[in-house]
Amino acid sequence: MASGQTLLTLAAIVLFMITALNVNRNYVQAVEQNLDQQKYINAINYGESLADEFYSQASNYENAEDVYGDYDDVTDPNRRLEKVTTMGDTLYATIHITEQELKHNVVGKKGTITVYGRNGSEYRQRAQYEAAISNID
Amino acid sequence: MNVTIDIVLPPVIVAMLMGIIITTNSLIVDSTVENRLTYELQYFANTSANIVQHEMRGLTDVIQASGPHLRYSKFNQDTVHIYQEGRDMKVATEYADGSPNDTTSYPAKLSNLEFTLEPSEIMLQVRVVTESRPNQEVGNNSERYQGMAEKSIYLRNKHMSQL
Repeated sequence: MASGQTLLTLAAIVLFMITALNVNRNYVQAVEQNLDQQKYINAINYGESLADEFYSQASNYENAEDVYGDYDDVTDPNRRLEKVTTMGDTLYATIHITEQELKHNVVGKKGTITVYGRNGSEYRQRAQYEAAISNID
Repeated sequence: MNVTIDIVLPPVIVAMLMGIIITTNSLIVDSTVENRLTYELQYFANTSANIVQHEMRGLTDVIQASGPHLRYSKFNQDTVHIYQEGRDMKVATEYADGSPNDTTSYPAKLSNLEFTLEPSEIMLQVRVVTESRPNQEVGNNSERYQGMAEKSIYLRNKHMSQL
């Protein structure tokens, strides 16, 4: 076989390989995106659940910080909330509470709830909620 | 020798090309069906959890919250029973004023529905898992696709009535 034909054959095989690799890579990316979507849904639901829990502190207004005030550092296992989801993914959350004037001149406490996922040693924010309570006692 | 290679090589390359085209098409179909299915299952799981949350707005007291059954009473004395039946989620209402019972069925593709009343008794956890069926999938996988959603819902009316 002439050297030209050999080169053409090699080039064709390399092109086939590139095409096959690209198709496989796209397939893996699609699966990864599906899993990411599920993780984001879980993070949003977890954030909403924590916001609901925070609302229940309206009857414990003065001491809300005692319950949630210490969860303010996602990198410190003692200062964050953790939850293992049904799919086995671990979510981390922090709550930052500030007392401020809410609507209609009512003073209340605003809880900023941030939910993170972990990628190696890096924590990435996946969802954030703001919930406010006022003193109902 | 050279003549033999010249004869054999073109069909081999054509066969490889056909193989790649068929595999590519198969993967594209597989991927498209898989994407649609997982999106649908995630959507159904999340929507089911949202429906439960929405239905529970009028809850004043929990009668039963275990496994796939949630039974509660509402501010107007109606009794609501949310439960799994097959792959559907059912919401049955018994009206206190004697009106005929009402049952709404949500085709949520459920494989598991679980209610748990947290120890504080003012938070209710709902966990929903949806699952595909083999006839919705491409190929003959032994594993099924799943969608999941879980929420803890604050029972505001119940809490307020306890204060």
